[in-house]
Amino acid sequence: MKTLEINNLTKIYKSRRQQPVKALNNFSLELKSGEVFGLIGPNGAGKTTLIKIILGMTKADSGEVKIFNTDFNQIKIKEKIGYLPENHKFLPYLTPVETLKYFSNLSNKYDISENEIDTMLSLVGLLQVKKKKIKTFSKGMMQRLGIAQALIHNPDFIMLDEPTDGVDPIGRKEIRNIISNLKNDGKTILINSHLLSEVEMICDEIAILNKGELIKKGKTSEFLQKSTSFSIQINQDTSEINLPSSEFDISFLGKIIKLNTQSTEKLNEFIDWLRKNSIQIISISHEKYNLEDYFIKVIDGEENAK
Amino acid sequence: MQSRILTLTKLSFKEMISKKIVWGITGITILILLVIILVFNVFDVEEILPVINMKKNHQQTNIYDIAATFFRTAVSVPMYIGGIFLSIFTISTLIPTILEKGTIDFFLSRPIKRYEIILGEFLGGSLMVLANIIFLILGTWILIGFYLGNWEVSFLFVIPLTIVTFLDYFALIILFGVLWQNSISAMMISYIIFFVLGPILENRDVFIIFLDGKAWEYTLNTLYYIFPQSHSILQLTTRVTTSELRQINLAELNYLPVFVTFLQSFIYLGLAIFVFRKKDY
Repeated sequence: MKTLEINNLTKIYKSRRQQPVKALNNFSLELKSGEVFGLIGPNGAGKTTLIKIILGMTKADSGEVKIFNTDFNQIKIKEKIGYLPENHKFLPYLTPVETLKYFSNLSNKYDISENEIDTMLSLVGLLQVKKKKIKTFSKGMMQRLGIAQALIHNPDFIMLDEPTDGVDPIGRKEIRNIISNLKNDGKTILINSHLLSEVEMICDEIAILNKGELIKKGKTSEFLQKSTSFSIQINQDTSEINLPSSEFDISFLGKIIKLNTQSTEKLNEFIDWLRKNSIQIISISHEKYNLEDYFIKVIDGEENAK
Repeated sequence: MQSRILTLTKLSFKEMISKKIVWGITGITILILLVIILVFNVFDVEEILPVINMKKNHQQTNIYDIAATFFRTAVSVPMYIGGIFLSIFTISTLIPTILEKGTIDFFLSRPIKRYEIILGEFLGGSLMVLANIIFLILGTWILIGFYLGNWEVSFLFVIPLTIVTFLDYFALIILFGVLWQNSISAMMISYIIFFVLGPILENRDVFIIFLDGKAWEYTLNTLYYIFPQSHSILQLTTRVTTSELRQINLAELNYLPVFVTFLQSFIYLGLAIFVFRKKDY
């Protein structure tokens, strides 16, 4: 079953003083139910515009959006959606309990119990401060409350815009666990994040956006290929050694040598050379492309192509 | 739908009561009533009248009625001007706060229609101000009745007159807030309308004499019907307050400004909803 279906979505921001900006250009995307989907792209790629169109906060110029096979303009469908906005601002005079109660009511869930609110606050680690005014909260605490308000009405489709923004490493791990539990409960999650390492860890599928267009979409594993190089750490500075650059495809800096090859034979030959010259090897690692490398490669490639 | 508006109303009311200035206004209201009680307890009416210098003009009238009129005027006119001044200051931040980037997202991502947000803010923001207006006028009326035995009901008519003016300014501020999302601009323009444009338009006949030409006459008359007719209602408030003493027949007063101002509130709110529905956030 599909949670989200976007067909040929176009949004152009028009301004009297500036040239029109195409935030989304014939953009299409599908999200299967129960998956964690990562939306990545440089600033101004159209990620937030896309989320705001899905939520009806911004109007598209053309195209179609369906959520759970229902037209997104049907306001009732929002009962099934939870949203954590980027750079959100809570009403500072409320407490977390009041905030969750009000937002639950505004999502048409009027029968929320104190127990449910406490459970949610406990999940995001804010139970101890449940009666404190939000104006005293740190950025990390606000972010945790932001996640709580997105989940309080038990939505099936959750959109998180920069969910770990301002959260410390322990908090980030807790948020990853929450997302993992939500996935296990069958919820569909769309994550928009700049922290590519987080996206890499959490998401099943990833889409890269640039200048309002879908550049690539696929399983996370497809983005994490092994590279063709080995990183070798030695016990002395490479400037002191006359390395065989003509025989091997190498680059070096300090005590690290990068050997570009896919062949293990070539790697062993190079190790033999090092040992023959009495150079001690500290470590050898096969380098991997992470999502960030892939992202930079794809976006740079796009820019150069244009 | 009603419950969502009720939730938004509660939220807006909660914001109002979180402001120190609202409690300041309530404090002033209580203080005014306490001062009236103090004056009535410390002084005799015979002692008050020479101070307020009213008796010489109304030799035939009961001294208690003169004192009652004095106190009613002393409360209702400053309350009208001061009340509108302070309430503009208080409510001007309501809409820009909720429309702020990062806050509005919480509301628009939920199954709420945009007009419900405007109505909720309008209702919630009005409650505290309305409560203060009713408390002060009703309190003054009861105290005057209790101490002076004068229970002139026409004074209570000041309540709807002040409320109509307040609601019109509130609706206008909501419209400005939606248009510019800036509380300072909304507040300043409202003050200009209340303190500068209002008196000019109320006395437009005088200006038309000096500003020769049909175009000026047309422009000033049009502006008079576009903006809140707060100064016409202020005059009406004064007449209502002093009607007993000046033997004014309330039925003969011109209530058109009240109806126009009342109608304007709906138009301003309607426009605010229209603009809000069109906007991208």
